[in-house]
Amino acid sequence: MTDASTPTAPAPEALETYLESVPADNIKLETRNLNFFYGKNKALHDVSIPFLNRSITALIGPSGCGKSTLLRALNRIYALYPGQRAEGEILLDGRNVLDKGVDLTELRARIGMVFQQPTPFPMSIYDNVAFGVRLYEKLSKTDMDERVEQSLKRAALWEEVKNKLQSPGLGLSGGQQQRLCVARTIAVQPEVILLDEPASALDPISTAKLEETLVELKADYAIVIVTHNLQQAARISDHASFMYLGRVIEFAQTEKLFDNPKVARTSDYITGRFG
Amino acid sequence: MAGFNRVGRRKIADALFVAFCTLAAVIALFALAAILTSLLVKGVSGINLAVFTQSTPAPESNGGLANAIVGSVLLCGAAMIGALTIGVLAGTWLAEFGGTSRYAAVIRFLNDVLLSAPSILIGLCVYYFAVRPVHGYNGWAGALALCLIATPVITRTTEDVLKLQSRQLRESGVALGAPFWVTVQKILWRAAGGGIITGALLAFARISGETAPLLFTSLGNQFMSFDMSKPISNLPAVIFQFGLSAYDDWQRLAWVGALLIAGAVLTINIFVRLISQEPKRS
Amino acid sequence: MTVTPASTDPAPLARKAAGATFDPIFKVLCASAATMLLVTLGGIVISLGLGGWPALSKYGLSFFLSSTWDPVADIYGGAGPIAGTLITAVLSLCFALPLAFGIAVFLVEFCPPLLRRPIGIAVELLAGVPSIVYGMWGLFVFAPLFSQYVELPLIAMAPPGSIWEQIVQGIPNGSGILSASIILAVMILPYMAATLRELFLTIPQKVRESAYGLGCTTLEVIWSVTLPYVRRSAIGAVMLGLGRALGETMAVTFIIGNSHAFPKGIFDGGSTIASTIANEFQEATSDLHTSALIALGLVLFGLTFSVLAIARALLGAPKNG
Repeated sequence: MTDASTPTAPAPEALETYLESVPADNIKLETRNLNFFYGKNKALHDVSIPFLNRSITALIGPSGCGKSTLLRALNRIYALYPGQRAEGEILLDGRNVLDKGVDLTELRARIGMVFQQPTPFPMSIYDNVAFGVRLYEKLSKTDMDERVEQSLKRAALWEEVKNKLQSPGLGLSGGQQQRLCVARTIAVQPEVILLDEPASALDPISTAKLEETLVELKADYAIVIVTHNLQQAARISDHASFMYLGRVIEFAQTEKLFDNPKVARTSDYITGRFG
Repeated sequence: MAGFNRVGRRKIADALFVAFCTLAAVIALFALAAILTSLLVKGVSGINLAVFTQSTPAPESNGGLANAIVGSVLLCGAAMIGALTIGVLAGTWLAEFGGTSRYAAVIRFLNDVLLSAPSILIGLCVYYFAVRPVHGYNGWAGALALCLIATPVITRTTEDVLKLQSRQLRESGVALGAPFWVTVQKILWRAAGGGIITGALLAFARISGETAPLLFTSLGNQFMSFDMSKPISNLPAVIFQFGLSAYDDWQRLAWVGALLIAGAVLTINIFVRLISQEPKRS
Repeated sequence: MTVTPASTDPAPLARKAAGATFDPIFKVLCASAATMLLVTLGGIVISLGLGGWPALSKYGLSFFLSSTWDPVADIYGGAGPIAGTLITAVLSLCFALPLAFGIAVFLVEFCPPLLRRPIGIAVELLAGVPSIVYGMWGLFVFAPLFSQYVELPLIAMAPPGSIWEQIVQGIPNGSGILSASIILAVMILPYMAATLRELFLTIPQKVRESAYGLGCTTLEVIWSVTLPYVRRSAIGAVMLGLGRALGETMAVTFIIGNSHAFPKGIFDGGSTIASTIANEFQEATSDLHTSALIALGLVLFGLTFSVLAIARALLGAPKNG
């Protein structure tokens, strides 16, 4: 672990980077010199990036730049697959989640995740939301009802499903399914929410609804979103990070990054000159 | 002219080929129809209340198949409980844990071998390990033999349907903080449930008509018995014994038994085919 | 408001999912279930090997060469049943293969769409009929008809002294090697037809269309495009059918005539390994008799295992494997 800070793979070229500093006391989650490996392939190179409380951070960059890999490192979902490993530090409230003793189920309950394709579980809408809660808490029927209702309301789905909570989650439309996944995630009361291109399978109207939901949720959570859609990143995020070849090229407040990028490659990407 | 002849020959050959293929299908349909007709003609007339209420008779006296039906249900039930347990777990291991490892490849191959291994050999094996040491035919041995025949079917279907589930479905269970086994049990098995049930039904259909391995494991029993540690009657063995006998009464009962088994098996098969998808061109 | 961000929760670390420690146990459970399959196959090999050893060691190679199977004198030579197994399996394959091929082509190429599903289901039902039902049907329905309309005329027509007469000799009672092979053919037909059909469906539409586009007739498309495309797997499918035919027990037991002598002609009674075991195992008169039967089982296992292994190798590893 100690040699993680020394560059192990030579950069193809000296990449210019710019990382804006942020107030340390507002950092919820942070990576320090994070390196990630798929077997022998190194996919992340010394990634150091903070994610703030009550803020949406967007990860942007061309395909294969490592933004999804970074996201999948944060809740250690990669640990499902032998051969994938992370080195360096991922600090959640100052505690390294890459440490050996960390309980992965607990970590994942604190860092929720929403995927590209909506993945409702094969059960009723109600049970979908209650599933994660039941793992951790013994709630009375009324408390559980309350929790499910609150979660669905916060995910802006309640009005559409309140009369059919017992019908299967798979019967909802794609956009509703994705918001159900958001409700399911926040029902567990996580501290961080990771979203991996959550709108890429949705139509524009559903996307707009989902974005609204995320902006409202921002009041309480640290949100990290991977997106291909630059307009989406510009619309909803507070901070943005441009990644390229497994490295963070630029991290700054979203407005600054889009209006006045410090690194030439970032401006090339957001103006559409490559990527 | 030569060119025209050639075309003519090609057309004739093609027409013959079409005729042959159609004939082949007709032959298969005819065989099925012939078997079903004989079953109905010879079986239906023998069906009466006694078949379901009385035990198998001595030669040239009246009786039914009640003990055989009960025995078959007991044997198949016990076998299916075991086969579902082992098969679903083994299929889960192949799909979720084994992956592309060498051991998984070996298990997959062995499962294929077992899937089409002659059932009589499984009967011999069970005889050697579960009948001979205890010096007596018994129902448990019969159930074990049927279980070993059903397990590979369920293992195979479980692995296949689990692999159809998306990677993201697994990940979203785990991402909620669910332990992996909870994700498997509450989400994946449920999502794959239809497929697993289909496999189980087909396995059940297969073992309910299985005769050979029962001949020297559970043997048979002329009387009604619920004791699995003793020889126990079963429909296939009764059909075998009665069918090859010289007594008219016994032969009539054998046809009734054959009708019952074929009816049950074919009903399950039709049901499964109707609920599952027709194979499509890729 | 019950949903509050847990960042304000004083002790979030205390949360722990119920049963998280069960994960490794679950993995071991699944792995042991998978290992049960290995144990089963191992058990078959060990039981057949140990059980058959007394007979094999007593007779050695002559167990496979001698056709004297005499429980009364306690002498056992397995050549009759072994030959019967091979002959019936190969004969049934010869009957079933062209038909299965024809059915598969019919279902894929010619069948009116409306009939495709019912006919497909009917063919698969043929596979679902329990083998003992085939046995009953073969003995009581098929055999009398076969005797009257095939065996007797053929024997009557055979010129005395010809090879034909040699081939058709036997008792024309409808039971025998040929009858058993025909019943077996009906039994393995649906398996092969279903596998071949699936194989034909894997051929990309474009490839077929371009052949038709060249003006090929259906026969030519099948012969020069479809078959070469699936040749390897098709042979695998045939081997799977052969494997089933080798080990099929009950149907054969009913109709093969159960004679241990080396069959002289196609109407002659014979026996297969499986039918011999089914008939005699319960009433085996001596330990050596039992052992000889198990040794026959070992031979059958060797035969089917090799055929299945070849079939598997040709069909390729199962998808996603």
